[in-house]
Amino acid sequence: MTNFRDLRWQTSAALVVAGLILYVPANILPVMTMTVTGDVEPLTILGGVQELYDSGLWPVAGIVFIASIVVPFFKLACLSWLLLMHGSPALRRERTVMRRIVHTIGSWSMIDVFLLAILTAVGQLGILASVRAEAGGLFFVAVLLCTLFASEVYESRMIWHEQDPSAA
Amino acid sequence: MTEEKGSGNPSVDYGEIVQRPRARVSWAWLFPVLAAGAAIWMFWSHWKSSGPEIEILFHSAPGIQAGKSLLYYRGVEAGKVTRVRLDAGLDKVVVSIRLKAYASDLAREGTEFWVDQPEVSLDQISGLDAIIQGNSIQARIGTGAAATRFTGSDRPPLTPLEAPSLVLQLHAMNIPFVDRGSPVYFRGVAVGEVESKGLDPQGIPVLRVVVEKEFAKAVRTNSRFWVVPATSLQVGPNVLKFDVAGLDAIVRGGIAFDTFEPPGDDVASGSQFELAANEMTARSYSPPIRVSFDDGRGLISGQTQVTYLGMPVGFVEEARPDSSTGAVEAIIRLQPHYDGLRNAGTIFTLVRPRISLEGVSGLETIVGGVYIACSPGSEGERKDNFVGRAVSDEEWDRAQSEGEGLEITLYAREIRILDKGAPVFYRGVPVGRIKEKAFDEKGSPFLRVVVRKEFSQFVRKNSRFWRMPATSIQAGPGVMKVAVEGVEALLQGGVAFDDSGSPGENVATGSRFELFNDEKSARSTSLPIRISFNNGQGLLAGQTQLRYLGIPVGLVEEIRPSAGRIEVIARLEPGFEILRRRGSKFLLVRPQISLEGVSGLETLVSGVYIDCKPSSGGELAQRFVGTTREEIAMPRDPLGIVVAAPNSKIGLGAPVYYRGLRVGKVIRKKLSADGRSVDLFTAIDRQYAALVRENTKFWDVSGVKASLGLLGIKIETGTVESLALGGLAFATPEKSQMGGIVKSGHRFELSAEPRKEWLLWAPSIPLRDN
Repeated sequence: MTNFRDLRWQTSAALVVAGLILYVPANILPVMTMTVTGDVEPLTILGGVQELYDSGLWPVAGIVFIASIVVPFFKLACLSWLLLMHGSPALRRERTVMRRIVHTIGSWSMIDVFLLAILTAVGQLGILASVRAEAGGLFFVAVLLCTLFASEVYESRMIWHEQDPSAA
Repeated sequence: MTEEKGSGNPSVDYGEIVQRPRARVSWAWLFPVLAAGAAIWMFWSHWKSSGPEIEILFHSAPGIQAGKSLLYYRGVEAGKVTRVRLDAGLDKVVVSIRLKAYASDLAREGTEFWVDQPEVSLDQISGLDAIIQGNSIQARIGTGAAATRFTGSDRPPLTPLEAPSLVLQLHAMNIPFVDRGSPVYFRGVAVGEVESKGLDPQGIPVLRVVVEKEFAKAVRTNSRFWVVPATSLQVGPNVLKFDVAGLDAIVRGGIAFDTFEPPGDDVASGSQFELAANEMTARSYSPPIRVSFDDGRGLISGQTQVTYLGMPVGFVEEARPDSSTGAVEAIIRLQPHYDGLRNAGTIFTLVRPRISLEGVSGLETIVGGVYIACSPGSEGERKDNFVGRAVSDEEWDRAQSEGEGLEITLYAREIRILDKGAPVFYRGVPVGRIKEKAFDEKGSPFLRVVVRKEFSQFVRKNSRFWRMPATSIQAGPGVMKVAVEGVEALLQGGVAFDDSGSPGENVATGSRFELFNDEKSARSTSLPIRISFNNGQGLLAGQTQLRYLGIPVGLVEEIRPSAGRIEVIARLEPGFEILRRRGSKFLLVRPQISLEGVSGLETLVSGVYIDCKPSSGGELAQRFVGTTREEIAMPRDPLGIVVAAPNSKIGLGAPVYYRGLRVGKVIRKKLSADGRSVDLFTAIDRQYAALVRENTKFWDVSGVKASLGLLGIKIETGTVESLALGGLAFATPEKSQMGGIVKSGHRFELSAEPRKEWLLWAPSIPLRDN
């Protein structure tokens, strides 16, 4: 595989792989623990969405669901597709558009992390309520960072690179 | 970028472009490795920190949520509930818990799990933290082998941190007050708690008691346990003591124990003890004594005390009726060092409150309940069976002597007030008691009287019994006497007896006597006399007296109508036989208020009486005719004449005047035989009889005479008496015209007014000396 020679591609691919790996614990492990009047509630991302939906806030639930689960997954999936299509002459225009989209929405995907940060900072009300960040959040941040850098490293022009026969 | 520079300036030799051998693999692959490493480490550490999963069965698990609720051990998180479900039969909750690795030792037999929830009860508030933190599961570690399935307890154990080192079982037939959490005291120090209260397989209540480790040595094999009531009240003649065992015990009661003997060995956990109802009971554990009582009223098993000289020395363990003997058998336990009371001469007396007219006794038992007093016999061998008494010693003695006493029967026509138990007196000394009041087969009431053995000699053949009234009032002019025959007799009355005349022979049990209504009639030995009156108003049987010259000489015993008159049966006291002669007069004296005076006023108070006047001679008689009103005080042996008046307002008793002096009175008044005039039968005092001659003139001095003349009005009146009754006056002419002495029954005419010369007549007539 000649593609392996391309270090940028490799870097990007490595980050995507790391992101995919981290995506699993990020969704399984709780991102935070809410203790409200003694009710200890560890929340995973999906659990949080469910909680919001159950309490009737389905628009918010939708936003969080999209921002925290769909978008990272979408980015990982798109990046994986772009990287796999690397060097192929097909659909170059579409791939370029897609990469731009991935790059653009990347800046919004941190919204969850901000939310978490604010919650943990504000939600310290002694024994009545407290919010504590858990390991899942860390993994989630790691996933986001991986996708961010992956899309940064894999530049649009690389889509248009011809196969370099000398490199082979 | 280097390529660009090289191609831009070919004229200058910037050196050869050497393509560095490019690294074939990007260092960025470190990221996936790191990510995988982190994830794996994460999961591994999670797996490592969790111990085995256990299942606990609860009857209910309120507030326990899968994934949230925690298991705490000594206040530290020891696991987390992973699943909550119901078992197949829907009668248990199965809670699965993933233990932390460091707490995996909890998964062993004997570990107790309970749901910690807030509990607010009368005596405690617990699990407050659960209000805030939510319910959790708590554990107390056990000591058994590893296990994964447990049955949770419904209530937290008393010692949540460690299993108690000494658990005792206390048995009693009845365990009131005490309940879970009640303190256990040893000489006032709380050394443990009651853990549970339940029934053993035989249905006997049992308490599980936990004694703290550091006090375990206080419990000895011969320790005795008793219930400490929440409060105790002691009342004695000069003691009012209110005991509160402790604030804790107020609410929950408590248990105390002590060792009264040289301490025995240590006890092992699970030992069984007996729980006594109170300290007294606990202290009394000498072998049982059986005392039988005729009547077990007030005896309470396990409570009634046995006292010696007023000090509690034991208690009644059990009181039960013994159907074979018809008695109540009390099983008594004494304190060991009073075991000396167990000898043959000891008397056990059941003391109850008694309020009788003889006195008040056992008053303290109203508050303290009945008790058994024992008085030890001086010697005698040890004995376990006694016959107890339910009465005081005196009464016992009396009952004993009455039991062997003389039984006689008293008959009367009517027996009022007197009832069973009323005393029998002999000369003021109570010698017996009425045992029974009933009817004989003929329907006449009788009293069965028991005279105590030592007094039975006083009952003679000629004894007379009478009813003792509660009170007697004797009243007369200037005399009023209220006699009360003792307080007891005041309410119940009583029976008294005495000899009449010289003592006769002794009598045997079963003799019959007549019961007189009162002492007087009893003492009257003579035959009754019968007096008939036409009106018996005011007569009272048993009360109306017969009096002679103002002194009571007898009593009316019975009054009954007989042939349109009232027949009075009366008895005269001995010594007044004279009144029984034929010709004696009996006058029923009632209060009389007339113009002549007021008489019989004393009868207003004392009631009517019968005044007796003996006749001078004649044989004894039984029947007499009495008069109901005082006969006109008859001048003695009078001269009876008749004065005929055309009409007359002159009343009976009207005075007859001679020169204004009263010499006789009108005693009878009736129409003359031909109906032309009214005949006034007039009695002239014998003393003055000589004044009445054949030619004597009578005129009427009744009323007020007014004559109107030229000189004025003249009003003449006689005495007050004549004003009301009317009156007669007479005058006799001078010597020559006076005529002969009249005989009884001579008739005179009554003039309305005297002639003038009549008033001037002044014959000298020698009067007969009185």
